[in-house]
Amino acid sequence: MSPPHQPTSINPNSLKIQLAYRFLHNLNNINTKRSNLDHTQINRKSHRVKVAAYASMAFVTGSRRAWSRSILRKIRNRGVLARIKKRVDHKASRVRVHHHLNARSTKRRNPSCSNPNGDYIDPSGNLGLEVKLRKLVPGAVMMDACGLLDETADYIKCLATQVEVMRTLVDLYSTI
Amino acid sequence: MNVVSPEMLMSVYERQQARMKLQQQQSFVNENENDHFSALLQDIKPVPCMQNGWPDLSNDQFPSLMVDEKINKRKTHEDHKLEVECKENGVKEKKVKVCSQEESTKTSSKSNVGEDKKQDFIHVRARRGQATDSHSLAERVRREKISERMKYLQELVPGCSKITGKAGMLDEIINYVQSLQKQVEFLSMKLASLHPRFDSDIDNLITKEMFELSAVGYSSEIASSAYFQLNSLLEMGNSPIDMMLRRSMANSAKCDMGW
Repeated sequence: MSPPHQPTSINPNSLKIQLAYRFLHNLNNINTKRSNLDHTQINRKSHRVKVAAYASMAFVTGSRRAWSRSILRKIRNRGVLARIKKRVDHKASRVRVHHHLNARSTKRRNPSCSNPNGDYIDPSGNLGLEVKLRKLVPGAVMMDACGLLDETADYIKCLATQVEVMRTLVDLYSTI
Repeated sequence: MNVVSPEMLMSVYERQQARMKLQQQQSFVNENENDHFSALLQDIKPVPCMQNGWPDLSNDQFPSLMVDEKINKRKTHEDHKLEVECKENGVKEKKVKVCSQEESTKTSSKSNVGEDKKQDFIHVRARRGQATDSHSLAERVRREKISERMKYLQELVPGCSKITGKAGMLDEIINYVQSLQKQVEFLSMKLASLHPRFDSDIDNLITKEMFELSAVGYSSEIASSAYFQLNSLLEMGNSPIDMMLRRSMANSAKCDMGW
């Protein structure tokens, strides 16, 4: 089912395949890059896996959508920041930069880091919810309501397929 | 208020309705309002009390929306088409001045569901008082877009078919997006804990087979005749990922056993 305002109907099957491919590729990169087999570093690794999941989502969707563009931008900036961090580490004190970067990364790390706002008391009654939604969907903060709903729909579709892919992977890995 | 008997008006307006529908099929919103104005004049002439107010209305800021909305709250949908017209014509003269004030408040209200359904008449009225109605038109279009997208979202989000109203829907959507994101986080943690058990050979195998399968998948999509093949592939396992992951697991198991 594709509504009239979305001319390109995304075939869920192809989306799943693309997502799976891309996600596995990213996972592979994670494993070969740094060996984090240590149990204490599982948090960091899980964070990397999550970033890989979002990255694969954004990569598959490409530049068509604002949310994918914003995710890609974040990831690229993250890479730039990592390089800057390496450079600065040689010069300035490590602690200061480390804290600074951690603060910045924690801000960007959790897309689901929505503060439990509760509904604003508004005459229209919808404003608080809309703001919440804008914070949830990446890259949709400065957007009119129409586009926001559009982005949300696409984002939900992609997220759902990504969750499905990950779930099947987990099932397969756990059964063997 | 309107004193004219409804039965008399009904017959007149039935005719008018038929004629307007014909006209509407031929014309669009941007057409010159005066043509339809005169056409409507002809239709309504037999009703005595209506004649006086007509020539003034082309210049007035008549927001037909306002009248509609007031009536919507009272009437049912079946009576709309006829009675709205009656009331509108009866009330026009008296409420022309009040209309311009109330329009801004009324058009921003959300109780416009009834209007969206009788779209034929909306087009007709927009032609008459086009100065202010351009705003209301644009707003109406915008609102319809939003409702259209909300409907699409309703189909996407599971368990939302019962919920009507923007607020509840938005709430459900937000909850769904949050739950999806938490699921991603949870699954990534699971994957992170499960993944290092296997060596990188399996990943290479997987990505290789993935690539092959995706190549097959792409080509079969381009040639839509083979599309059904893909569907059957998908139906066989949970997904083609399953299949080829199983294959790769089997291969790796063989390798392990061979050690």
